Amino acid sequence: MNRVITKIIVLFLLLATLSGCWSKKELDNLAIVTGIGIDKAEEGYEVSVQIINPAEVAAKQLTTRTAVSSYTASGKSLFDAIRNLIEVTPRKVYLSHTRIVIFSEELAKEGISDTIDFLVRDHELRTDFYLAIAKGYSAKQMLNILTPLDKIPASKMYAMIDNSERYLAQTRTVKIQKFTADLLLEGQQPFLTGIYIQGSTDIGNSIENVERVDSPAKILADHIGAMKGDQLIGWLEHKESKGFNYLTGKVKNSTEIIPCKDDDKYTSFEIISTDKKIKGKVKDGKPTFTIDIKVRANVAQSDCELKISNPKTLDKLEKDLNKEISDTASLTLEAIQKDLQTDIVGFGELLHRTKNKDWQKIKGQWDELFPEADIKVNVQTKIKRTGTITDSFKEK
Amino acid sequence: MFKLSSLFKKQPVNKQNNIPSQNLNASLQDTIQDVKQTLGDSNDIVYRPFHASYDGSLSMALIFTDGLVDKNVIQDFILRTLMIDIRKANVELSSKENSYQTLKEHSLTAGEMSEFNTVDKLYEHILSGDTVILIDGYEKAFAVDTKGWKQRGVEEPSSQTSVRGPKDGFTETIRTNTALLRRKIKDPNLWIKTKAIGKRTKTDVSIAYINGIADPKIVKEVYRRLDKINTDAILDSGYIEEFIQDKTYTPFPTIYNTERPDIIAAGLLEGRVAILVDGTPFVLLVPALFIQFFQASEDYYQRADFATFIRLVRYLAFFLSLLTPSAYIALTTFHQEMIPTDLLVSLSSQREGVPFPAFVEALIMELTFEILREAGIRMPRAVGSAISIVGALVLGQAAVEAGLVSSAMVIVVSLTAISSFVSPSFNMAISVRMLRFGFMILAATFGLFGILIGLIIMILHLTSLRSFGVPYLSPMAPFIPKDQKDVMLRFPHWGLFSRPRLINQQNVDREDTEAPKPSRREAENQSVKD
Amino acid sequence: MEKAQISSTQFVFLIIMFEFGSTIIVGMGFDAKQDAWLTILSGMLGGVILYLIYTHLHKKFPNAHITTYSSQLLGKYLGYIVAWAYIFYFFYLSARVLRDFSELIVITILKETPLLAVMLIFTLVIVYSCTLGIETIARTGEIFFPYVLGSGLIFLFFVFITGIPQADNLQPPLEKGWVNIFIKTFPQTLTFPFGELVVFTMLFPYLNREEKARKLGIQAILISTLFLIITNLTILASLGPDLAKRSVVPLLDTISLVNIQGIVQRMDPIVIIIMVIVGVMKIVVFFLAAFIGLHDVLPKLKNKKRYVTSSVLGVLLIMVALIMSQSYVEHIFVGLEIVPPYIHVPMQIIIPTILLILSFIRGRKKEV
Repeated sequence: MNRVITKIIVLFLLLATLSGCWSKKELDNLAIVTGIGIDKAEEGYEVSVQIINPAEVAAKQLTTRTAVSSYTASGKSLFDAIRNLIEVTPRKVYLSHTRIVIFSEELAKEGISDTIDFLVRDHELRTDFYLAIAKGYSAKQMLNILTPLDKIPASKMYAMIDNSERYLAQTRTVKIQKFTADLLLEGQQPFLTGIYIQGSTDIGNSIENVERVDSPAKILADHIGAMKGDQLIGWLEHKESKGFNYLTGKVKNSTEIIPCKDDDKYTSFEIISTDKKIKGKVKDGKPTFTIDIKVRANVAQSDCELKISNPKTLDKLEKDLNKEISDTASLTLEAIQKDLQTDIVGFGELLHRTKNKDWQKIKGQWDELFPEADIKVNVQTKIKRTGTITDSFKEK
Repeated sequence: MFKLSSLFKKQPVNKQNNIPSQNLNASLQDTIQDVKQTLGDSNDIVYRPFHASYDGSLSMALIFTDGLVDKNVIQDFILRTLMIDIRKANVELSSKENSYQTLKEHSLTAGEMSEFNTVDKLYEHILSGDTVILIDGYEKAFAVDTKGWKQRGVEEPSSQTSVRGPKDGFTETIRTNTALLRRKIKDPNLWIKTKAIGKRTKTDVSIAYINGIADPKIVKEVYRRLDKINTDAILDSGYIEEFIQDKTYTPFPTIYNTERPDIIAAGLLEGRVAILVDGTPFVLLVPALFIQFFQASEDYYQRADFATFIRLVRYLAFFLSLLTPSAYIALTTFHQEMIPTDLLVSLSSQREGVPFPAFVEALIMELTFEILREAGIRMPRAVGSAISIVGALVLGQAAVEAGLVSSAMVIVVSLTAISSFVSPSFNMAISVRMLRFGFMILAATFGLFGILIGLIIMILHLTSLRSFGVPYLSPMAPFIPKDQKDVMLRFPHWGLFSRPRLINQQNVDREDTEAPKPSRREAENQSVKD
Repeated sequence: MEKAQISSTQFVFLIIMFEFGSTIIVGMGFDAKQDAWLTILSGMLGGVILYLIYTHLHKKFPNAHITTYSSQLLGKYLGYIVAWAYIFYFFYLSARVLRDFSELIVITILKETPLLAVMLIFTLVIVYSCTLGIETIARTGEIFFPYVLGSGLIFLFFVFITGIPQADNLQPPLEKGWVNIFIKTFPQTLTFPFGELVVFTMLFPYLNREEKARKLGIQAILISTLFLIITNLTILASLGPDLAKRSVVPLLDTISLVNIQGIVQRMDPIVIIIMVIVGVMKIVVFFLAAFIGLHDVLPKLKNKKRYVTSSVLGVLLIMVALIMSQSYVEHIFVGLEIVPPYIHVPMQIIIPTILLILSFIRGRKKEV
């Protein structure tokens, strides 16, 4: 009797294993998505996906077929639209390798939180892709540009956003986890990276774009889109974006140039690290903040008559740099306080964390108080090194 | 209806043809007749009747098996003594009692001699290469050890080779093997006891251990299990292994076997018990632990740091050969998100056009490899090179080019194969080969989760195993900190001052050497000279 | 009672893995937002007190399980009922954790696989380990523990290397005051996972040095609290309190953020695998406790083969785990909102306390 029971159980288990493979997805049945573009449709959303053609990407010989293809479908919700893609894509859409999700500017202005919900909730999507807004273009157009060097345009965009944050500080990378955290905080507004196309989108669409030495259509990353809640309300310009990075202490590496006495010659600096400290308090119901930015820089190029070997010259240069950077920061503050009126730096959150009692009193009126807040910027620059020479060649 | 259980039911044993254990017949003629009849007049049995003593009154006979004996010994030490020397010396062989005693104590000049008085002993001696001397009128007989058959010399062991270390290997002769052990351990406490097992083969099985180091409980257990064996034939130590192991239905070996005397000697010195079987160069060592199958004798001859590194490589290879195909299946069919995008693109471009799912592809390739390997072992040496051509070209390159399998799969299979050759003991490599397929099925059904479940079951099984009462996974579970010096790592010899605890509990201290330090004097002298 | 021995190390490892059990999936005390780690701390204090009650009972009745001495203290019938209650309790919890982990697998890595299949294969492991007995389980735990701990630390290290955790997320501390923390602690973090140690009242007799049960257990609780707090702080600082609260598997979401130079990343399935090891240990401990209790209450079962009994229990386990709730949401809701106050509190706190008081009274009577 016992033996019979065991035999039945064992058989049962064996059957369970053998008839398995429910979740199996063979590699050659997957359409690997690298980029998702979300546009507004008449009703709901229009989704474009960029799908890799593995044989072309891995091909050793040159082919005339493109390395990626893009497909578009629309639906009442993002999920619906992505499911509808199955009608047009030859294989099952596989989202785990998504590198970038692009929203069109039009959609961003209306609000994106409904789409964010799907992006966070769906388990196939990982959290390591970047979010960006196509500045002045539709998301579909962005995904339809072929790029040289990197055969997969979405990867190229990913790398480009990464590099422009790391070496120029003219934009900021935003991943979904950062975005949702900002969206949920009371004293902080989210922001997104801006990307746009330079050149003709018609040629960018075809393989011709990668056949020329100078590609007719290029993708660029610049500007930061300031949001209020989940809606885009305006853009920070190139310089303002950099100022924003100074204010948030995220300038890892960048450049600054300072004019010589009067002519149009400049001394250039490489910013090698920055550090910021914000102190905030509420005085008579009015919030005030002091931002200390510490910058370390190297002299990268000097076209002026400067005796750099003299410490006094460096002192003067440091002062000029201080002014330059604090001007940039003030420009940004001006933009977010007066023009856009949205707290994307997170001053409110700072109060919440450090002066919780005061914050509890004013958090209801933060939107009105923020534009009036008194914010001071102090910059302290230290020039560390001057490269492999000291005095410039103009100096004799 | 055929019942599955009948496979395991024992039929009543057929007791015919068993030689009764009666006493010897006093009449020489009758005995010889009996022997002739029992042995079926086999013509390799030689009967040599003769008369001894100077008056030729004592009729005797020699019986021996041609081919198993050294004829020179018979001529020089038996026939010459009894037929010629005895006359010269005028030995008195008149009275009946007297002559037997005299022969035994004064006349026979052979070295090893015994007397017996039963029929079954008679056959045992004849058939194991002794020369039996029968004397008319006595119910007793002599057996002189004249064993001397053609045997293989001591050669380098073929199954376990080493770069550095002793190159001698066990042979098929048990005497040679015990001698090899004696040469390594000159300790009066090395005890070797022999018994014959197998009703028909009467194979000599020796149990060797160092008294005072080996755990008496384990020694007793070995005897108990050997005594329980009741079988026709023991042709190899593998027979013994299956009869005495703790658990039959396990893919893992719980008894160690080797051709190398140095490993056995080291095992004896750790307190293990060796079982030598006549007729095979493979000697068993118990208790055997899991970690033992990852220790090569060379580990102890090479530098400690290098040995440690190699050991870690071996553990890595163990897991590689066990899990590579299943991990490949799991990653490519379930967890594509784990593969970096570039690699995924390249893998999926390789898989374009491959007609089978990854699991079937892996199964085909692994089975092909197993067939190749088996063919390589069984086929005549002369055609050996054909295997490599077929294997490398036809099944590797051509299959990829024909689009039957992806090239990544070929890499996976080769990695598995190479890793499985790393194991210093063939037994463990075999179990891994079998388990690999189980893991592949689990991976194809449940992905990495299936592999993990397989691993948990495997570890549960391993921890439940015991080898002669010693937990198989010790000293990892139960964890014995002192013994860790010789598990993953190999401490320098001066650090290995204690024997493994569970194997040996009475005589733990191994040695007491201090770590070598350069003598300061010498160092200074050296620098002065320079 | 089978004659088995658990060494001190094995016991400590077993408790630590047990404490981690399902907490690493659902997370602990994220309702208290950035102060979640404080609720763990206060839960631990309560847990130690409860553990002292359990060991004290064991000291009074060495070599006995809670199912044995309950009838000695409460009388034959009431004790019998309590013993059965504990058996059902352990069995139910075992099914709960089984459901937790099966759901984890289905939600994360095997989306199209039926829940039943995942449960079946889990149960296979559980039944097999129960057949092999407590000694084997303890040893297996000993084998896995270093790997679990090591990989856990490596993952945390990766999280920090990537620079995800931000101290800002932990501020402001005590936003809603201590009272709030105690409200969140009792009954939730106190009973889950600390109070669940009541299951070890079934395992104390198997320790090879029973007298050390108290010391070892408290050590283990302290160590696991330390690790739980580290994990908790890392999750909070990485995800921020709001996301941590929303997330179904917060730890997984944290580790999926790891990206070191584009080389070390995408480790989610491995994290789940490691979680499963810990989970299996927890299910097995509960299952075994129910198994032992059943043999204690029904001595006739000893005549049956071990694997038969455990297989039957295993089939029941799957049924209970399948039936207990309709959806994952319901399952988690019941697990965090209903089970702690109505099931955990009586089984972990009230009954043991009553038993302890009774044992004192009885001890005094004897003295008189």
